[in-house]
Amino acid sequence: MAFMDSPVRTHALVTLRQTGKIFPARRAGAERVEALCPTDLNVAHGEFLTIVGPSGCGKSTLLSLIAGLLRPSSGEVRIGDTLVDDPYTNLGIVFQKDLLLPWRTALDNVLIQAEVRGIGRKPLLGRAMELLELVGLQGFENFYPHELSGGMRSRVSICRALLHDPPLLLMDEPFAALDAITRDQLALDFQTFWQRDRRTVVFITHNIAEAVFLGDRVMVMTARPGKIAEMIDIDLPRPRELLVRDAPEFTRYTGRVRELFMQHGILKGR
Amino acid sequence: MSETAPTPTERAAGPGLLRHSYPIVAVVITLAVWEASVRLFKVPELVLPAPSVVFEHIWTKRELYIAFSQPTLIEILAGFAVAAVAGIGLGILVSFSDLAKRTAYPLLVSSQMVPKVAIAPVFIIWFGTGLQAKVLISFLIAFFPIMVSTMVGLEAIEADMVRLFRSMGAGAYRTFIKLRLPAALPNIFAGLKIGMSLAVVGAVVAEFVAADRGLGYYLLYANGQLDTPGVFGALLVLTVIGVVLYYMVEAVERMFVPSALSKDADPARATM
Repeated sequence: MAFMDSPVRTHALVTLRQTGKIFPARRAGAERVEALCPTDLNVAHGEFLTIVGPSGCGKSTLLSLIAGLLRPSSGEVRIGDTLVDDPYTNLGIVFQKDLLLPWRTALDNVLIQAEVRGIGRKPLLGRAMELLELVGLQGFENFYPHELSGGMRSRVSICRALLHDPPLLLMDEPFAALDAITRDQLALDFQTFWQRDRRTVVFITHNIAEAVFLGDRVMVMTARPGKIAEMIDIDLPRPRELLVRDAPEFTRYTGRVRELFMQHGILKGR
Repeated sequence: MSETAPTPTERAAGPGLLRHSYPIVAVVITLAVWEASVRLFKVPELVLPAPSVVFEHIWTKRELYIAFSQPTLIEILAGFAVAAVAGIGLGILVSFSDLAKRTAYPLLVSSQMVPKVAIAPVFIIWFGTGLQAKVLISFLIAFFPIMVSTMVGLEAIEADMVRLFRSMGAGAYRTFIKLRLPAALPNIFAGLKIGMSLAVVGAVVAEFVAADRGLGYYLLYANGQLDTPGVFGALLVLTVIGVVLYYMVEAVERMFVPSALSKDADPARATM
């Protein structure tokens, strides 16, 4: 098992029990959409769970359900002992778009987290600077988003999500808008960053290699209706280097994911 | 780090002084061409006076122009102030309240479809020939673009942005203060700049209908006297007032909207 090595991972932080989501018909005559089949899922403390699947497989719906931004049509979501039925605030979210406020500097964009929560800037100023330094943005604190590259903006949005030190980080295709090279760099840097405190992460991607590279477990999803096709434990030692992607044990995992997509007709093999 | 970003100095560096002198050069060239054409083609003064004649007219009647600028300026500023407060206020109300959107908004749109020049006489009947009616007309012409651009700005927020704020525990008030309002500011200022130019129009229209002083009144009077230099003199002074007020709004915008959004503050790119 991939996460036997850590004693804290004894019980789940996030628990989904028969959690499903059906969107009502948009207009008369249209069919209601079952975005997510009733799903069971446990995410352990300190686990890095990646979710990979094609567009429309309900992976973003799943993330919204965990965050309490959507209410499940069936079943329930629990984080720790809390039943999630409102937006759950003790977590950080990183979206595909960096969603930085263009009128705020990098530092102020990180600190918006404190301001919105009513904590105030002062107590978290030091932590904000520290986070920016950790992601390699020292010296860029007072730059506006339009003065930063896409990768830098993405790093700022990760700092913002972590300012209040949440136990859970949700990431919805965070690197998808970046070019392939920057994307690899961010995945590598994010792994290093994550290994410092091994916070629980649920990471959505449609990139198979990224999912295997980052995850302790990869949850493979299929579409219409969205459901879990398979859970794959990734038994690769960390820190993983980018070159591990060419190793046979790595390609065995990516091959398995591709095989699943072909079985479900998501990828046509020939 | 493999990424690079432009440094701010690259952006700021450039022929700044030269760029600022462009508008002045453009105005001077326009006046020079105007002057030369009038002299070259011997255009009668009754049809088109040369700028030198207009300036001379303004200079000799400077006391009258100064005296008549005051009431017009007050009408413009009062009309604009009411329009700004009402426009931004109604814009916020309509974008927040579904009820207001369904009831007040159609009424407000209808009020804009009434030709405002045509209802100006009605206001004179209701409110008399004093300041009140003129401010009201100026306000009515100026407020609509301010309201619409406020609405557009407040509603043009990405859905994920709102989700992000909800996950931070933000209620409607914090979302408004920290997200919607600052995001709407470039739009609001675009509306205010248009509103300012329309407030000038409104004040002149009001003075056309009923006034015994003011630049609009003088313009109409000079026209009746076939005093074309007087007409152009009034037009010129009104134009200068309008331009100065416009750039004053822009100066206020620069204080509130940081340079990071300066592209939105460029009036040439303002869509409303």
